[in-house]
Amino acid sequence: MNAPQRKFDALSVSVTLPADSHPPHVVQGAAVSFIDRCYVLMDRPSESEIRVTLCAKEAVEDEGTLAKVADAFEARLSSSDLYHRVAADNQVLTDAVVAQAFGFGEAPASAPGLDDLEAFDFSEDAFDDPLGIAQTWEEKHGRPTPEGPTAKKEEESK
Amino acid sequence: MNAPLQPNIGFPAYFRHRTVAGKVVLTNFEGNHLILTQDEFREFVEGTVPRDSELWTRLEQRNFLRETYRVHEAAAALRERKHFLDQGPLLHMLVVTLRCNETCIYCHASRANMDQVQTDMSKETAQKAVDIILASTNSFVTIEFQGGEPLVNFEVVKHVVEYALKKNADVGKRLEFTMVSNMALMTEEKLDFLLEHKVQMCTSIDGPEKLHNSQRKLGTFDAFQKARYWIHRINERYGEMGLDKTLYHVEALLTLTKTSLTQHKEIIDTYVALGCKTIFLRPVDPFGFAERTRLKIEYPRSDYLEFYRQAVDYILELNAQGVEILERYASIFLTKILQGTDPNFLDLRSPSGTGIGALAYNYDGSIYTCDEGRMLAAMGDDALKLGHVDGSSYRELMGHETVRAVALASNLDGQPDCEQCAYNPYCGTVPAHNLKTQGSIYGHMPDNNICMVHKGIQDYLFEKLGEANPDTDKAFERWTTIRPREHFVHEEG
Repeated sequence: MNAPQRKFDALSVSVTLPADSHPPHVVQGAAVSFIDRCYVLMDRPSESEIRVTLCAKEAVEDEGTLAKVADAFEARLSSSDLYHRVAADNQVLTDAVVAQAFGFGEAPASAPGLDDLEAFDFSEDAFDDPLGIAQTWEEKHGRPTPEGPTAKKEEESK
Repeated sequence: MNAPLQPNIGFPAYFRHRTVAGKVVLTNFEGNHLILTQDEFREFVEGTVPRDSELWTRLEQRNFLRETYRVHEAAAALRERKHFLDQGPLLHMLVVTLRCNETCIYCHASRANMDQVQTDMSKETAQKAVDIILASTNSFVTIEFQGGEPLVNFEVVKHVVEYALKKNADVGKRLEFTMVSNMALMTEEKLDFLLEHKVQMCTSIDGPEKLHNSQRKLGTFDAFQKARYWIHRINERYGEMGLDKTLYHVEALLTLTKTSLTQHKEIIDTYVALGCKTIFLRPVDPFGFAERTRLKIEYPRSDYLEFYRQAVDYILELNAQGVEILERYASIFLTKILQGTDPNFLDLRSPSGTGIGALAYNYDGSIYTCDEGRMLAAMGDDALKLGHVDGSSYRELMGHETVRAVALASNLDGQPDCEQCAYNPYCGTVPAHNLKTQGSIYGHMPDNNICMVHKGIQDYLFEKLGEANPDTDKAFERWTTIRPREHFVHEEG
């Protein structure tokens, strides 16, 4: 299977893609943009496929309406894919821009001088993190680290 | 149907894109933009642009080509766009009382009746707030008097102005005072003080007299007439002081309700007649009113956007006739789009000005990341409360976990939909609004009202820019010209 496969029912359309056609975050990025008009489910029916099911929030009159939703999703996916490929290709340049803009630039005239720093209160830990903002979701909630589909399948087959 | 694009990865530099009115808006990492035809976009993505073509020149000049990408230039542009990042809070909103002499149909949680004197800020609390304000790392601070109606507690307003000026003699910041007032309690004596101490005044006008008085109810049924009288009087006094009236005049804030959406011409004509040069067509906030009221005054954002288009079209018509007035939302976006800088409007930047750009001090001394945070607290959710003037240091406030969380949440590069949106360099999200309407400071942009409004307005602006109408371009260029009102700035030394 190379092209996306569509499957319709009364309320929803499922678009199934080869798992290696797009990275999952690209598919997810495209799917999430439909949450204003659809209930969105993203799953993996098999190791070689990613499926996005878009269920219209409002009643649909015919399959044509759902086909338009699927068209829009595929267009969005294509656009999202282009964005991510170009972004990845240019990452060295954009990292350099950020580094020059904020990392190695001259300090602005309003920045504190040494005299200001001498009087500065360093007693508190500037990097305390009581809400665990810097923690991963798994660390914060004590959840197991997610497993890839291959590992999960192996686990199930035991 | 067109053949699918065959991207030539390696030809374009980093870009985002969006289709608007049949054309393609391109923006790049540092915020330059181009408007291309569909055919030009295909050539760009597929890397088939001839080197000697006009399109190549345009792409190269705006830094859209990988081969000629100028890192140093992009870094300077990005630094200019994000100039606010290392400054600290500029705007400090002081709610000197919740008491208000007017009853507005859209305002409940942020006001109290005139007999609720316990909602007045004390001089002691105000003084402690000023101490924190002047500890801001920002070398320019604005103290904005809010309410309720700030003229109700004028003694504290006076005390703040006098105390802040005295203390600032040692601190040496550029200091500015502004007041948002319905003007009904203004007197010549109060005005003398405000003018003498360079307090910039702003009022609220909802539209023509009938509309204004039906939404903002004063016991004497003349809220509009009183506001109009004092607008003219203050403008007259500015003239007597020798100030340039085109720059120094009273501006007004508008609250758009469902009823307002049918009256765009009448509202704009009212602003012009009052001598205002700016009108800010913002949709109504979801804060501070009951569900029953919401149904009466709220509207779908698609209706708002239709209103916005008609209203700005009308303003452009007036501009063509020589009438000087601009729309503020458009002015903010256009300054970013056309001038490459950021006017630092706190709700329209990334990360937002919530906390790191502004703080709100309630009458009781509680400190919030923003005025909406204070209103949320009045509705029972104090998630955006940072501390209290008693005991909270500036450093504690700025290092507060909530400030960090809202800064992270309002960074558009971390928002799934915003990350790749063509309007990313010009846009912003509002954590308090997201929290109120979607239950999370992050929100989810695809069905977020503010996102819809921001996208809709920018679609309109890029559509207009794409038309290349010289009159519109000239008007838009003028709307981005910032003339600082230096008279209102107190400067030591």
